[in-house]
Amino acid sequence: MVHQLRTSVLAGVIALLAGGVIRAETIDRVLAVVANQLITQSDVTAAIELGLQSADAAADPVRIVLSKLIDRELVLAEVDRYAPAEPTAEAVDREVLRVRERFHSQAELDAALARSGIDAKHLRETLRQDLRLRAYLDQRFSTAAGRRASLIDEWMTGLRRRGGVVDLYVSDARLR
Amino acid sequence: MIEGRETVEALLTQVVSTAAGQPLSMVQVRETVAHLFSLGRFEGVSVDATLENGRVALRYDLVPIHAVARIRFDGPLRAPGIDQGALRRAIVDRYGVSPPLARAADITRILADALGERGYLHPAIAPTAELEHSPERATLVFTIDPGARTAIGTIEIVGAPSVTRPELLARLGLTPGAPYQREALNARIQKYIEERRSKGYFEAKILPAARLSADERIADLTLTVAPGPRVRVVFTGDALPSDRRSELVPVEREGSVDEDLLEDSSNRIEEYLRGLGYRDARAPHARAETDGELVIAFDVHRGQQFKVATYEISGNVTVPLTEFEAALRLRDGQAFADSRLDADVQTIEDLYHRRGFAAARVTRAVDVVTPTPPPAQAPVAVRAVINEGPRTTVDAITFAGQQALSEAALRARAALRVGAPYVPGQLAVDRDSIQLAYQDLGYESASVEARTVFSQSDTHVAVTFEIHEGPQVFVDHVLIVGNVRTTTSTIEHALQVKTGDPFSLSAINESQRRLTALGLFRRARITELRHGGETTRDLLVTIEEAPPTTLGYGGGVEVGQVVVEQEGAVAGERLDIAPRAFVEIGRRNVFGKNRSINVFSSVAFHSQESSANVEYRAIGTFREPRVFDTAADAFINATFEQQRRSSFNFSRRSLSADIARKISRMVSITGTYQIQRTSVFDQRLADTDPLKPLIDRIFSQFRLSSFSSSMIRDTRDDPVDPSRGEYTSISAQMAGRAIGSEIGFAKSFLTAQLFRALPHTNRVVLAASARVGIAAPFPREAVDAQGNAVVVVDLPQSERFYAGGDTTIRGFALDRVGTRHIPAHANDTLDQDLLPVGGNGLMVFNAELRAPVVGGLGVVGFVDTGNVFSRISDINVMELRTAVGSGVRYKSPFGPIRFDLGFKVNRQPGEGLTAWFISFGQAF
Repeated sequence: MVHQLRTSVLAGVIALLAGGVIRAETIDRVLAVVANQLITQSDVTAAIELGLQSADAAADPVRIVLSKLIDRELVLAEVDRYAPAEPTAEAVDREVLRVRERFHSQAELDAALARSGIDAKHLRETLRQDLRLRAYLDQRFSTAAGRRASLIDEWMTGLRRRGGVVDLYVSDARLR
Repeated sequence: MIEGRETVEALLTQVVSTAAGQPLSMVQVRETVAHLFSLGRFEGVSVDATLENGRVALRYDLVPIHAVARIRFDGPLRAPGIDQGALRRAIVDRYGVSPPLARAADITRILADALGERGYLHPAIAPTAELEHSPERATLVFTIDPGARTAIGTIEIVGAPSVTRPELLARLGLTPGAPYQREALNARIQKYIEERRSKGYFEAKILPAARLSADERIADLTLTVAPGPRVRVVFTGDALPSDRRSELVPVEREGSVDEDLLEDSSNRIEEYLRGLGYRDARAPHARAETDGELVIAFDVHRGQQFKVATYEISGNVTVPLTEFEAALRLRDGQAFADSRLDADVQTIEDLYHRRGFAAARVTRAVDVVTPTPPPAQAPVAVRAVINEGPRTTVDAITFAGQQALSEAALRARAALRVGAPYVPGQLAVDRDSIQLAYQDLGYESASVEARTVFSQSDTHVAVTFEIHEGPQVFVDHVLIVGNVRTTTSTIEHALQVKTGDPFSLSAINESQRRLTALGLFRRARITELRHGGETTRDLLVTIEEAPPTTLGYGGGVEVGQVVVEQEGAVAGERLDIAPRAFVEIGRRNVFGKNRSINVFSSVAFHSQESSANVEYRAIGTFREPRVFDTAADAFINATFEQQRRSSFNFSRRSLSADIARKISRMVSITGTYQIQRTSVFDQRLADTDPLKPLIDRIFSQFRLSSFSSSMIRDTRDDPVDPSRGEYTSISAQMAGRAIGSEIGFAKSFLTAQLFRALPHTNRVVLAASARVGIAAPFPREAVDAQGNAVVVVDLPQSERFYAGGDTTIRGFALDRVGTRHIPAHANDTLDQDLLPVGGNGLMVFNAELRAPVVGGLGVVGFVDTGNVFSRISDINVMELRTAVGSGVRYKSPFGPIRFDLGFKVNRQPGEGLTAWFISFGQAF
């Protein structure tokens, strides 16, 4: 299994580089730091490939998904401070299954994970955090169902303003 | 590669997880990127892969952080109103002198806001970075085009200001055509309003509004002015103390006559009067506006005053009244206040709840005993009836969902016990304690729910703690950066976490505390870094080292009384003024191992003619922390000194080795070996003096080799000027010929001190101290000046006990406490000229009241008593010498400075009445 995974990684990287024999390709880099959590290029590609975040056919999908991952980390920092109810193992299993169903086979999912540099345990933990995040939002904004979206937007704006976000993807572009 | 240059730096290569020859793993790539970035040295980390002959070559490109060394502004900045210093301050205030380059976008917004305040509403600001290498640094350049400045157009005033239009505009600095500066205008409005309020116009308001032209170059202003009436507060009805009125009705302090504030003021007056026993007090307020003046009248009706005639508490079957009576606030004969009765009810209910009576309630009744018309006080009978309810006992405590911790471990974290009373508050405490136990094991999202099931009669309860452990988080890597002189192993020694340990917050906090306690760093910070797997964290230890060398120096004047011999009379005292100076040099973190070397030297020049008119002391100390990898610290000290005493002077060279260890936060022990050579000179006791011990004639120079140990327990809140706590120390010293000493003795000294702030006083502190010393010489044979064999049975002069002076018994000059008989007794400790002989026994007791007066000034009153005894067997508490006195303290920036004046209570013939001292620190 491990050997198969490694072969898939190598095949993935070779496919990535196939356009030019010698040309170097950036396979990973740091894109942002949010509340001491790094967000890398491979996090962005993993989120897209595994269907965890959508880029909605944007001109710059990395920008869109990176912004969503930044927001996710800002909320998770709040979640850690207030500790909502722990999701059950069954709920996490269901989320893992949902991701699995986006692929034709387990091997295809394994290959996608390997290309992003994350393993099944990491995926499971990511999905668990997503459930905690949702539980937190449900708990915090439960009484305002009608205005929920706008309240969350307003709250997110506040988090972005005071959260320590170092967005290297933006600053690279501006300073260049 | 660092900016295109290949590096083989060990710190970097050791965190690279991708090894040549191994299959490419993106997990390892991610991990390496995270670790390299976590070092805190790089603002960019990227990995490039190149396919060469079926193999992949990886290149890690690192972009070092270029610390911003300079901030520069370019562009047409000579435009009026633009102050480059102010722009720079706006950046520094938010991001410091070296802002991160990544914050350039945020800084641009700050600059735009700052220019907007000066009237430049649409500046164009472009940030660029000029990078320099070796060393890596950058100049952050902001190219600013401020654009057109918005000017004030028309100014409309709505309302009726209390001053003329030109005067108002002049006060607000407004002129058509002047630059529109919003914040400056608001500040001037605020100043004007405050001035109006100080004159009683509490409701004065000016609201500015700006309407911008299409191109935003003109701002038309509208000022809505509400001058408000002049406010006067009056009190009618019953009198209120004049010194409480402004506190009860704080309209002037708050600058407002807001209705909520007035309502609160009425309530405050009523509460105040109710606290005085006026149970039905009322103080409604009314507003009336006449002739532009607003009169706020508080109509005070105190009503009947009640006092407690009887206070009866009943229904307490299980808990005797004596157990809570002292905590009750209501007392017989006191003015009756509902608030005190409420507090008593709460106290009683809390006590019952803690004893397991969860449903305990107190009902109260207040009845007038004899109706009495005002102004006489009406007596009331107060009754508090306790309904204890059932006592609930814990029947069972069970745990569910635990895997990582055993049931026994969880049970140990809970204070609730089966068979013990059930305390609802303790249940929450136990739940938190269990959750903390999990968090210490790295289960950072562990949650614990406490559930209770009561029996039908509520006499029994079963408690269940349901645990959701969540995933365990581990420390992946510990990265230490910033240490230059300090070895990594020294830092690792202080850390309580290492790779593979559970991610424990308490261990991290303890590590942080220990790093700080090392005293080596200006700043030491531990931050967590998440990356990749969400169940692992890196810890980044960022060190900013403190300067290794410290230098301290100072000078001053020592003023005091010294003993002088007077021909044909007893020894007297005279004023001695001695200039003093000290210098201290320290070098810490020697060899990067937290060792330190300190050299302290002081010198004082006395005016008295003597061979020791220069007093000096030089002490060199080498400290080896955690000696032989134990919890103890070792010290080696070398001392050279020459000191003056009242009946002799001495010089000494000594070398000592100490091992010191803290047993707990408050208790420490020390073991010492010391070897010293002492020369005693200027002996004032004549050889013919019958009290002069034989040893002083034979051993004017001697070598002393001794072992000693001490134990200290210190709970004082401040070692220099404590207000609470205790200090206890006991020490023992043994010198003997078997270990190379020329003279042998055993000596012990006990110190016990207590400090308490007196209740119901303005921080008055009672300080008490007891010191007891005993010494037993070992006899030895010697040869006297005439060549006769003699047996010496005394301690040398410099090793005997003395008392008197600013830290022992004030009222006596240094060392001059003792006993003298006429004719002399063999056990006298003062000779016929009142010169101190010293003794083998010492008792000193002090009591002092320390009261602050104003600012850093304070006064003290003291009683000191004690004496020096020739032999241990001579110790007699009936022969204590006593002094009383007072003093002044000043808390200076250099520490407390004190002046004490003491008076002897039982003077002996020839002794002066007083002694006074000026010195640093408290007496004890």
